[in-house]
Amino acid sequence: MANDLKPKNYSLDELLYNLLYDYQYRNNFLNDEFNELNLSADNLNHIKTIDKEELVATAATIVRNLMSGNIEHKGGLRTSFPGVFQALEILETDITLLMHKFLASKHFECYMELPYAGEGTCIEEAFYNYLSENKEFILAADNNHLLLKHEFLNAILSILTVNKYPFFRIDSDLVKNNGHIYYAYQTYSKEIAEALSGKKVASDSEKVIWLYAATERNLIRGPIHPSILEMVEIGGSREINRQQKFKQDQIDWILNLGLIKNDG
Amino acid sequence: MSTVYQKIKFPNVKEKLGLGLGMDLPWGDDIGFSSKGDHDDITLKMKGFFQNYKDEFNYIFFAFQPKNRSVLKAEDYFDAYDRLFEANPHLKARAFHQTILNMGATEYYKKTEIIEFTNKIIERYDIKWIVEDLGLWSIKGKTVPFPLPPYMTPAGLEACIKNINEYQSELAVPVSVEFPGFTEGTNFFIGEINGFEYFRTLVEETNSPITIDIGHILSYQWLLGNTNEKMFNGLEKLPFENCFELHLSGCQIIKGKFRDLHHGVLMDEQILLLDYLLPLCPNLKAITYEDPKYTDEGILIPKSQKNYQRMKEAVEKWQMI
Repeated sequence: MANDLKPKNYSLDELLYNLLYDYQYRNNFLNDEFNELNLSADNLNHIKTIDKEELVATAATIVRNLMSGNIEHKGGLRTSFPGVFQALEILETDITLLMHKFLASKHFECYMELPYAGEGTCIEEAFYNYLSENKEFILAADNNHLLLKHEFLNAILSILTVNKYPFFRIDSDLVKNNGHIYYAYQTYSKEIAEALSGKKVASDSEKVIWLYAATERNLIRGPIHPSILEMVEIGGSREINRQQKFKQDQIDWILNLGLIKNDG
Repeated sequence: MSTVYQKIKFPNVKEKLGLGLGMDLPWGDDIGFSSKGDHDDITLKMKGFFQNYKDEFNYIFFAFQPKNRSVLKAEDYFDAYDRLFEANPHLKARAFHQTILNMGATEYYKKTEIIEFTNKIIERYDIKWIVEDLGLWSIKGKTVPFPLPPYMTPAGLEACIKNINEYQSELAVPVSVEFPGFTEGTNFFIGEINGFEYFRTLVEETNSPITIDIGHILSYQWLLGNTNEKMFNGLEKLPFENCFELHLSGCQIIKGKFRDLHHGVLMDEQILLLDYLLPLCPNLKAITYEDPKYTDEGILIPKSQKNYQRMKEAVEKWQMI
């Protein structure tokens, strides 16, 4: 390889990041495949002091924390994506390996856990993006992508209910802001909507709009009439009243729920 | 007064504070902060403990734990911290254990928000010093499960010096730099410079006060093979004149590995090292019992009682000198 095409040697930070989060890079180190590590002679010398057993234990703890806890006390991805993990288990997916692959992905790299360290997404969005690209999971069942999207929206809107001024970036165009609240919606078949709500959904149409909204006080989710969505998208009572096409009791109802701004 | 002493930027604490309390207070734990609606508080269990031991601890530090995923804002924490200090009106001093200074990092990261946040806490609560373990608490914006020692390399040392100088100049009170944990069972390290020499160079270059965590020292000694009667070997390399504070937290040797478990039970070796260090640190002001464990009634757990008493007696004896 010509010198100018040679990849730059990893810095200490990059080296540590790779050891902690990139399972293949870590395996190269554990197997003494030093030529694969892309390190300067100095840094190759520095890594001799690493206790391999402790490195493996630390990497395992990182995966365990991400899956089962340490994010907002008792959270973890298993809590945010219960149905998805159940579906992965049905597929007999090696979940630990899947998590290691997620940690080594560009999506995980985009995740920012700390408020001051720069811009990045939350872990839930990173995981959603990662799994959306996992064909084995997505194609295994008709509703797997729908389930993933539903649980992602539930999770992120729950977080936004508690964190009005999140430090993380929201890249997904599924999540919107009407100037008053964050919200998202999906159109589901009546059958799916009824399965999600666990009861009959009153609708003349076979398609049902499902709202996820982070209001001042609560996470609001469930089936809504198209006119309600229209008002949520407008965002404020002044404009809604000006248009004179919405029923007053509906306007009062969504104002009371805190889905729109009361601006006259 | 030595010239070295004059250069060190010690916290503004004139008298020996004696024994203090250090607490990690995660949100939602039974020893931690609770959040209900708009109201934050400490737990009942903690209130009982503070009441029971109010005559035994003269100062307190608590460790920063993020409350939520919002933009970092000191005001979001005032309610909880107000409650903590209301429950401890008798204290002579307060300190703040930061967990986000990340002084071992070689990567660039913005410190403005961290400094602004910390200074607001210092100002509101008359915090006398900041303490944080020298090390890597996060990398590329992701925390590591346990803080790792800094890179024990020349570049790592240079980065620590730069980071510490920045914090010492921007924070309203001194940072007492804590000797890193090299605890087996929780972390590993990169680089080959001797830990005591590294620490000495660093504090000489930054004129920083230091905190010696006795468990961290022992864990490093165990790693070097300096166990049992050899546990004092090489300690003379530590910059004792800079030592402002000592930490003692519950440790244990499990399968030959030294574990810094913070379970409240002090080892005999920690008391021995405390006795050894007390006369060697001329500028020592504070000795912190970190993360005590207690019953729901706020009484120290039985296993911790014996060496807690030994530590207390050693501190009282030292205070009278």
